[in-house]
Amino acid sequence: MSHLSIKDLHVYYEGVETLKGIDLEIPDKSIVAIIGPSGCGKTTLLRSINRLLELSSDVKVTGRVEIDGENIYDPKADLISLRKKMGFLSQRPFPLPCSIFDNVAYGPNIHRMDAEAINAVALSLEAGSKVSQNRKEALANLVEICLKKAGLWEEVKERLSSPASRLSIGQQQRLSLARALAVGAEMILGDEPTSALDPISTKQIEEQFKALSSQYTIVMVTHILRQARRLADYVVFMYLGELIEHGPAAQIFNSPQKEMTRAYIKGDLS
Amino acid sequence: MLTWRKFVEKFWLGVMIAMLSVAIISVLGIIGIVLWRGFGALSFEMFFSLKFSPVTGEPVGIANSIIGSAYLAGGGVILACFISIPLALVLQREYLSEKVITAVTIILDVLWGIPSIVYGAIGYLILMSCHQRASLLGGIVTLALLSVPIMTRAAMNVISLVPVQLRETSYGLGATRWETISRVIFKQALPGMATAIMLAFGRAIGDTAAVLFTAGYSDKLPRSIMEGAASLPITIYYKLMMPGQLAQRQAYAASFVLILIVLIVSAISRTISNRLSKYTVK
Repeated sequence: MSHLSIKDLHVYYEGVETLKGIDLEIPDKSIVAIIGPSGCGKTTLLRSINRLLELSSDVKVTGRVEIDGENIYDPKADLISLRKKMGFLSQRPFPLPCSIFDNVAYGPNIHRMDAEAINAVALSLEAGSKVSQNRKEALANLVEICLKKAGLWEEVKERLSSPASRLSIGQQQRLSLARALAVGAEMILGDEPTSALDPISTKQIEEQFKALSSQYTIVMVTHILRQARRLADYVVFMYLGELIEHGPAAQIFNSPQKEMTRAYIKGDLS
Repeated sequence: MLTWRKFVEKFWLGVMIAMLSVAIISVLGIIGIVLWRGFGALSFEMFFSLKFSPVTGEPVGIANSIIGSAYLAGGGVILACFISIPLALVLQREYLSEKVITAVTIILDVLWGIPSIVYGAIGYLILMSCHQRASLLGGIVTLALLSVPIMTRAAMNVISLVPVQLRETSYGLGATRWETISRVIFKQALPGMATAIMLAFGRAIGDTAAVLFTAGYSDKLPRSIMEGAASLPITIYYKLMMPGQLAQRQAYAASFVLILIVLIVSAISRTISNRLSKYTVK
């Protein structure tokens, strides 16, 4: 299990400072909700954790994001293995242009994981799961476990070879989760992962997050306070690029220390 | 006020329908005229033989031109694919800066706009400097050069339509740039690329000026890549210049064949495109 800490993180978009010196220790094996009004830098903070920010043009980042003490912004950092540790769920799920099976197998395939590595991920997800020395069998087994963990197996087990784009949006988001698990991610980052989903799919994703939080650190951005209340063990409140307050969910929701946090939770600030 | 808005709505709808009709009538008109003028010459012999008329000594069959054009346009487009598709894939933000992409895009747009006779002249110069005569190879290379800007720009447009979140999904799983481009972006853009290739093929098979000096002309079927080859546009041009009703009719019949080839290739590319889009994300 990797540990994530953020130290004096500043982000500038086209010269404008959007994150103003964030310092944060993310508690392990818990659900961390980043809350705050629109435009407060929640998504920027999340995307800085796996360096997806760099895909946008004219972005400058200073400070450190450390995974087990290793700064991911170090020019020598191995970006591929760092991203592999962090599964990412975007607001709107995007299946890869291939079958359901190949979507889940994408990670193990690009990382050229052998049967042993695939078995190791399968065992970390489900102790005592089947193992095979045959890579094809091991991969099929891993895909099944990941889809089960993401709560999608029963719905797709008969049509693994059909295009993933034909799944409903809620199923696609659970497929994204399965895809992230298959690569052996140690953390799950969710950027408002239920905002495009219907209530039933939202409930399914939330249930999966709850179930997975005993094994994974889950960092999710949400603008739905009720969702943060339902799910979060730890809450981070941001406003206009600054980290206003963070702490255990019970403390933030019941006895916030800062006036601004109190106002936001009461609904006076948006 | 509402009546005026309704009038404007109807007016523009009318303009659009009128323009659509112009497009449809033009296509049907061209096919109709070509068929009307060339129908008499359309025959099995014309398509599949190289026979000469026993009366006038004029060639009856245009198999040499059909095969020549297929080799020229097919070869040119296949060669262009090897240049254009990697070029379109590298002209992405993953690999190059915005400034470089813009500069290359402008160059490609200029190349697209250059008249094909200039490509023909350049191809001819290259052949001369290599002490070569007009040949199938010369024509293929010139048509490939002509097709590269068309195919690259069309492919770039298709790639730019790939949702950015698809790239993020791939990078988020730890994929490299090449893995993302080859396994995700390319696959998603593939149906559109089939259309890009078709666009280039349509231009290549119909072009006369580019092959006039470079591929030359031959009454025979090309047996070697270094031999001159006939092509449909040049055959049409020669036959139209010749006196006699048979030649004139054959020119229009050959035009019909050219249209038919473009139609068939277009239908095939559409079918391939639909097949390839089975897995793409809508």
